[in-house]
Amino acid sequence: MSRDVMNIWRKEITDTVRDRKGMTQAIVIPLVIGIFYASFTPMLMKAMTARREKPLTIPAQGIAYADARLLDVFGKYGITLEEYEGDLEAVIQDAKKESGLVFEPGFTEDVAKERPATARLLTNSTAGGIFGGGFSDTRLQLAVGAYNQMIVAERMAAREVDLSILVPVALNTEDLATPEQRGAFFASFYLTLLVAVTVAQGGLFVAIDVTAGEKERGTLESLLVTPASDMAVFLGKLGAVFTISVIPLILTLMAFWAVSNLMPPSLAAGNEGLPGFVLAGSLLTGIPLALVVSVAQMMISVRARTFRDAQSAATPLTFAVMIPGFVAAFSQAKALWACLIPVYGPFAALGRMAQAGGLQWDAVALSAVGSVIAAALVLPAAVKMFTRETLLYRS
Amino acid sequence: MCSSDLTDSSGTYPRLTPREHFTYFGGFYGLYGPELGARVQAVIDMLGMGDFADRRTQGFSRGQRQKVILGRALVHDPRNVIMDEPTSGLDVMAVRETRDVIRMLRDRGHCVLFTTHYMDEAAKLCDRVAIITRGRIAAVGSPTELMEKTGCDSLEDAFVALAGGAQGLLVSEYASADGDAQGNGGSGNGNAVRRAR
Repeated sequence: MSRDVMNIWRKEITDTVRDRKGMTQAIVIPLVIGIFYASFTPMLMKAMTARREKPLTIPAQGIAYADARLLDVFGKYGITLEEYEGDLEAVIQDAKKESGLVFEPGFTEDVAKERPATARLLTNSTAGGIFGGGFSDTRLQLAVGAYNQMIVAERMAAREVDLSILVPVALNTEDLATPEQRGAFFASFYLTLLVAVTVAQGGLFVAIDVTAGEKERGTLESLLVTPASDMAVFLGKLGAVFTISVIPLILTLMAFWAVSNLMPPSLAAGNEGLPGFVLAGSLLTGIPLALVVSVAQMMISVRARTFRDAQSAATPLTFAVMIPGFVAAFSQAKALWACLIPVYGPFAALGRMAQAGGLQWDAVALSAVGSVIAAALVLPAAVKMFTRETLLYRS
Repeated sequence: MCSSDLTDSSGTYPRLTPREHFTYFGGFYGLYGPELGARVQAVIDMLGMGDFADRRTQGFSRGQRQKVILGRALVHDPRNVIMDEPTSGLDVMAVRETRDVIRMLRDRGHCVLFTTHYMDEAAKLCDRVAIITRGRIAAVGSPTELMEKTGCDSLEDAFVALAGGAQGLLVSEYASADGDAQGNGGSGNGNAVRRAR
């Protein structure tokens, strides 16, 4: 039987490798997605940093009334006030401007006389639309907070009061994340999605082609009248589907690793490269998952009469693989046993490894066991569906 | 394996060459290595496929595809060959080539069992003909015997008579004459199973 399995496997691989459309879907597209993800993350980081550091210009009225030291502090925070002539409230209300700052006469005098001095920050929360971002007052609040601290310090000093009495609790934040964890931080999100997409899509085209595609071409009948057993035919085809599923997974992860580690520092924006353990963990969890998905894809495709029918039938399966991946990406499982859950487990294990900053063998082993058990349970049903009569004459 | 089947729904793998087709199918019959290579080459030579044996079958004519289908059924040199309407839907040249192959197989001592709706084809190729109607064998014999039995001067007329007229009704007198011969050809009215031996 093993010779028949190898014969079928070899033929299906040759056939698939020669199929440009299939290979594009199986290899090139996941590869491009991997490179895109790996490149996109640091560029997004850089864009976010650039936005944070971008000078902020706010239209204002009554700048002359403002305390000069406040304007200095604003300057240090990259905030520039621009005197606005006209009805500032009206233009903000019309969403033509996102914000404006108004100083009333007597502002500086109030500060000097230790009276509460107020400035009005005008905003329109609908300006820019849902995705426009609106105006964020975070930087302005930070600048005003710094100015307030400075003024309070002066006043305390004038009264010869120790400034430390104003700070009963000092909260010092220390980030204990290791470089590996920082490197894997984004990977825990992106890689989970990436593995889900790659595994769900990688071998799908081949699974359909070797079953429903063969039926449609009229070649399956000739194959089934050979002495090769049903099991040999199924295993040979499954082997090819599994192989083609694993190849894009490996290529995609390697591309992801290479791009994230070899990226110029100017693009990386301080983001650490993807640690090798995440790559290894992704493979160790992704490969058994690919086996389960391959068996399921074969099961579904073999029931269809035509390639198109099989594509429609396999769509829910694609989602059934991707959705647990997305769930794990957005909400990582705390319990170790979750790694045992078929389909979801590998993604959970991947997330745990990224969080822990090291290869977690227990999570990897559990996810692999879960996948192998699932494959072993589904395999007999798939082989049964592959019996000749059912396969050829079922409508 | 002493027999090989060729069905009417047979297709080819468009991205494989005829040689690869034959190698693939030959592998299922215990052939491998130099022996398989020699058998593949023998089939290519036998079917006159040398010019296109190493081209992918995508874009092949019906006749060329039919040769690929025939070749992969013959690669293990089966003693018996079963064909389901091997000339159905083929152009004139492809029909001639397929008939030549059937003749050649017969001349080489193979037993060829095939179904057809073309009576002239049966008359030319077959040593024995079985008329199947409504899933039952209505008559069996050589073309000459069947014509004599019905008093017809063509196998087509004999077939119509034996099949029970144009509507394919089973005529009891002929059925009873070969009443012991029953089969389940199954594919509706008026099929003829021919055996070239």
